[in-house]
Amino acid sequence: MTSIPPADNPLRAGMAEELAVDPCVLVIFGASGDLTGRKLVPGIYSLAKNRLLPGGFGLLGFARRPLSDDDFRSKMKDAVSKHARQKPIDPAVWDDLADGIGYVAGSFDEPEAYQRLKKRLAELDRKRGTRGGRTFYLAVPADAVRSIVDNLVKAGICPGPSSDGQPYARVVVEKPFGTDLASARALNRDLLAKLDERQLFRIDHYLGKETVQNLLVLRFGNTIFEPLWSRNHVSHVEITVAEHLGMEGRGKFYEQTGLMRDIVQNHALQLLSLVSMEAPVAWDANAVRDEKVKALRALRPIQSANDVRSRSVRGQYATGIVRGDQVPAYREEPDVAKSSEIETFVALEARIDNWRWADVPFYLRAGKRLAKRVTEIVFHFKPVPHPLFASSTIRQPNALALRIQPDEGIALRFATKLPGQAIAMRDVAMDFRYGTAFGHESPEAYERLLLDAMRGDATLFTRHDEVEAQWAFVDPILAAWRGNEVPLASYEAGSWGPKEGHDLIAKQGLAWSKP
Amino acid sequence: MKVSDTLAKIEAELTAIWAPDESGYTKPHATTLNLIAVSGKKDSKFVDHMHDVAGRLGARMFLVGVDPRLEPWALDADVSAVCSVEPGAQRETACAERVEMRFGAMVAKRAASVLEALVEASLPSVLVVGPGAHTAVIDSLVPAASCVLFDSSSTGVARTTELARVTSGRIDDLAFMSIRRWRDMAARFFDDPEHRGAILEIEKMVVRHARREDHAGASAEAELLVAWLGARLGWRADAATLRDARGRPVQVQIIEVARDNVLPGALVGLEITATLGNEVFLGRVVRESDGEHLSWELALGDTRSTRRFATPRRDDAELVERSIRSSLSAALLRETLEFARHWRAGE
Repeated sequence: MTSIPPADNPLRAGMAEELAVDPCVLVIFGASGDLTGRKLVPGIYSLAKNRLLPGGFGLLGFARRPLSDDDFRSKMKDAVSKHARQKPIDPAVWDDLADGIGYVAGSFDEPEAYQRLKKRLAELDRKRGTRGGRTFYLAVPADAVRSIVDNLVKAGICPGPSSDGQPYARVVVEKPFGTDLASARALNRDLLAKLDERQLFRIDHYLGKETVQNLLVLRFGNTIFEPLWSRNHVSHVEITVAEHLGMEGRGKFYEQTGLMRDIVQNHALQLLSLVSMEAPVAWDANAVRDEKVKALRALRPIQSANDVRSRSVRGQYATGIVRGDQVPAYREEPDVAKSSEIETFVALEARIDNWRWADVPFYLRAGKRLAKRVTEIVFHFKPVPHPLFASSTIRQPNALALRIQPDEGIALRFATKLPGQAIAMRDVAMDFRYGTAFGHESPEAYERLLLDAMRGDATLFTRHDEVEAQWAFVDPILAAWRGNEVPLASYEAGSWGPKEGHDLIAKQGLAWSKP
Repeated sequence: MKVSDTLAKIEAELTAIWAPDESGYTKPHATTLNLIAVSGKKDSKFVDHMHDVAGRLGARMFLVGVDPRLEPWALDADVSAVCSVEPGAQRETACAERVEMRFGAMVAKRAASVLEALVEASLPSVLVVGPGAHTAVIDSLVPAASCVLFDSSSTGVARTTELARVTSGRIDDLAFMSIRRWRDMAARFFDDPEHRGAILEIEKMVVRHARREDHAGASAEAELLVAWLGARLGWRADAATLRDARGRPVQVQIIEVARDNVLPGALVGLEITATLGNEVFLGRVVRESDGEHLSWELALGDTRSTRRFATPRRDDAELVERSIRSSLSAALLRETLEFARHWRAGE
């Protein structure tokens, strides 16, 4: 007798998205927040428009603010109209989606609110055929995460790991995941006491970007780069995560966080692990994350006062001109202390102590109010061993630049002979741009990650040991900064950071690339 | 003029296009692929679509046809460059070649040899078989092509299957692509794990398509939808009867209906009936009267769920572009075409 495994639908084979999502309700905690309207619900709308949601799907918002279902739907419709990737919104798609949208008002620590949530979930199961599948998205401050998970488990609406065919419950947790190694460990311990790692999806939206995923395709889907991808050929690597924006109303958050925790501990170290990891044995969540963790654990600690002084720079922006406008200094931003010592710029020299990367410095720089918004990784290759063309001033022409945002693409720089009788060289770039080559718009990072979470694919989410390895690297640096081992440098808004950031790399006779 | 003389003339004209002008200015030359479009008519919607696609993708385009008015051993050609100018740019941003070739009846079968000399070998070549494409040209080009796009709506599923069998490269079918929403809708009936069992219990399938002017039996779209489902579920054709994987007969009906707001042959309805437990499982998709939405319904016993989805009208330029960019394997199409061949053979 022919039998079909329950998890597989043979009619999905060969379709663009073979792995269908099982019926579920997505519950967004912090539904009245900015992220819900700007990214999450527009992302869900795009998934619905591209028919990637399951037949049985519902969405519940949960937040303190008292709102009716209709109020919430109306707010979300406005948000989708404004932020959806594909505009204008299709009324048929929205009406169908809106029919399954509801709202529960309540405090995150109020047990009765979870009973109301439970009742609404049961109603949606009946009305929309969502069959008990649950994805809980915690778009909330870090200190609310424990309480929500506790209450979900106590109310019996977040059961443990499922076996095939049983309803499932998954929990997506937004960054920051802890504020240091100790708090991240404690949070992991508490969550893993109630949930299985397979149910936890720690989101770093950078990993949902097409170009970040393309880093892995570039490395492990091609053969020509791999032989070059090591200390044998690479002289140094630069990772830049630059923003031209300032606080944009996040002054209070920044005063508690700083750029190291906001960007370096997660986004920058994720990029570093992706470009430095070994090839995973398979494209699955654990195999990929095993290799990333190994790379992170191989990071040489920046621990002693001397190390921190020589290998790290912290800075804070002063007033300046960004994109033609005069902008205030960090200390003049709303909700920021006039004497704030919080960093808005970080530069680090990281070393990876393994066979592949021994002696290759990885220079990281990240900052707010820099000259422009750009995220880029540049591999600089070693100079030619013997300068054959004596007339040339170019000794180290080769670089591979991986642009994550904006203008996503890859550029390979090499030397060519200038036309003419003499042997004169000039470096040129072979440039691949996503937008030009593929024409169509890439899905938003949140679309990809919401879909992956709903179908239980954790490949693009960070595992507990990854998060802890990231904190283990930045914690000693933060501790030394707190002890004023490294003075806070000032830089003009609209520049590429403080002089000390340039000195960090100049010590090795190098200079930052101009993105 | 001998074919090789015309070929030399084309090459010389191409060289001249990219040579610097009196001021030393050279047009920016950018090509990403060779697009070879074969059509029965010089002026048609198909040709317009191919120009659109070539412009959007920056393709070196060859428009190939047979002109019965030409000497049987002659080849005639026009060479030009099409340039795009980005907003604010002073001059062309990127230019690519257009070569229109008309073969005499006797040299049509040499089309592959002529194209071999003209395509940019380092770039991928995509052959698009348009409506009314001359048999000799197609038979010459298809076996050598690395990627062929058919359109069963115009060539017929039988001819597509025959041509697909002689190419080992990637193939696609615009008619098969055009029903991808319907395939998705059908798959959706069984996405819920609790409904998956019904997939083995299908008893009846009814497909409705818009009437065609020639009333020539089932449309390619309808035939491909049944063949896709049958191939995926391990059905087999037993004389005129389709049987499921366990050998039980499946009743299949393809019905032509009058619809004036969709293309002739386009799908307008699908019903799948099965038994799940002791209850009737009925999945239904209907193209609404506006032609742009599908209503999807699943009834199991007394429970019923409905959805409504947008479905854009068929746009051949978009389908060709989507197919060129797609990385999906042709295995699904090949198994569908083979199923259709067996099914037809049984009828």
